[in-house]
Amino acid sequence: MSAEMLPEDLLYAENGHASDVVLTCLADGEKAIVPPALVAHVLACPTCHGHLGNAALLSLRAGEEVAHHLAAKKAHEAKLVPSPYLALAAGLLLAILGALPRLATLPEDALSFGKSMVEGGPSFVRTASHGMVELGHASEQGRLVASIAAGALLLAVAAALARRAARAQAS
Amino acid sequence: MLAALFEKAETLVARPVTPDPAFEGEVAALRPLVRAVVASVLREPHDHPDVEDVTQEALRRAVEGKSRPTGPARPWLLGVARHVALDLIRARRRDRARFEDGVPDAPESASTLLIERIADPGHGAVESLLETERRARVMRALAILPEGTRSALELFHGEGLAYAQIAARLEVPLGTVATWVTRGRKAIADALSEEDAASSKPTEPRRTP
Repeated sequence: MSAEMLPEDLLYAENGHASDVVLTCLADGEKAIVPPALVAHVLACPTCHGHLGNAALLSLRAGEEVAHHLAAKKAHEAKLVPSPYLALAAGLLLAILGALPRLATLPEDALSFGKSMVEGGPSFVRTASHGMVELGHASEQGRLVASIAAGALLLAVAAALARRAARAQAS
Repeated sequence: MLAALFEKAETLVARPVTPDPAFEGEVAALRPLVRAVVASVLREPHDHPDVEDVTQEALRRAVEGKSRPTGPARPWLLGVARHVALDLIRARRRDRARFEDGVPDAPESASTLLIERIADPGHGAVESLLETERRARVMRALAILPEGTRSALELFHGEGLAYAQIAARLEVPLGTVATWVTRGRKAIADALSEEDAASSKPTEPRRTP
């Protein structure tokens, strides 16, 4: 089975030396698609050999430039991808709605979690856990107010995000 | 994330050299191309003794050096050859400068060589600026290339595909791929040489009011 070779009409330049296409192929390491006799000529002929060196240097330089071009293209495409603000806002809103019943029992949860950590947790979390216990005790009295305030705050953030997303989309 | 960082670090840190006959064979097969690059950089005929010496040195560094290419060997090896040839050109320039003054300088210390390397005009501020402009021109040239030509260049240099694979991917004959790559290179060469053409143009005499 013979590998595919370059067509005849691309092999020689008008002056009888190897064509630019052949030199590019050899410079790119594609020796297998150039007829062996022509490869031998390029390596022996001072003119073709000189052009082969230039073609190889150009191949090297082109590789660097194309790599730079591809990196820039990728960075540009990444910029064009819109941030999913609306989806984020909707998700945040849903999360808030889902967490609302839980917000009412947040102080008790914090208290029990803190207690369990103080009793069984490692020493480096005990200090933080004591803080949570204190927080739980302090906010037992006004837990309803705290829950509503926290919910309102989260809703305000979500609303701000949604408004910003809508403005960005409009512009 | 951490794994990616380690992977990146692995490519940067030199790997221990272990004999690798396959790699050495690949390097040996690229010898004619390395010699052509060296002759081109040195602007000497391919049978010049310096060309042979630099080729030999480049191949030695490639085989005995501490690093190995992570991708294809060809561009890496040609880069080594270009580097070694440029070193010789700089050494020649230094010798010429010393002997043109009449009195040879004292042998260069390691620190002198380091300073010379740092002060290499190839990495100076002006050269960096010119390089940025050159790169911008090449980017513009690449952006206006026909789709097939640009794709062929991107697949060859970006994904490391062989011509035959590019031909199969783009569903075109092999000769078309070779022609596209050649045209794309020509466009890059033209963009790189625009500066020379501009600087060789005669400047208009300044008009006074």
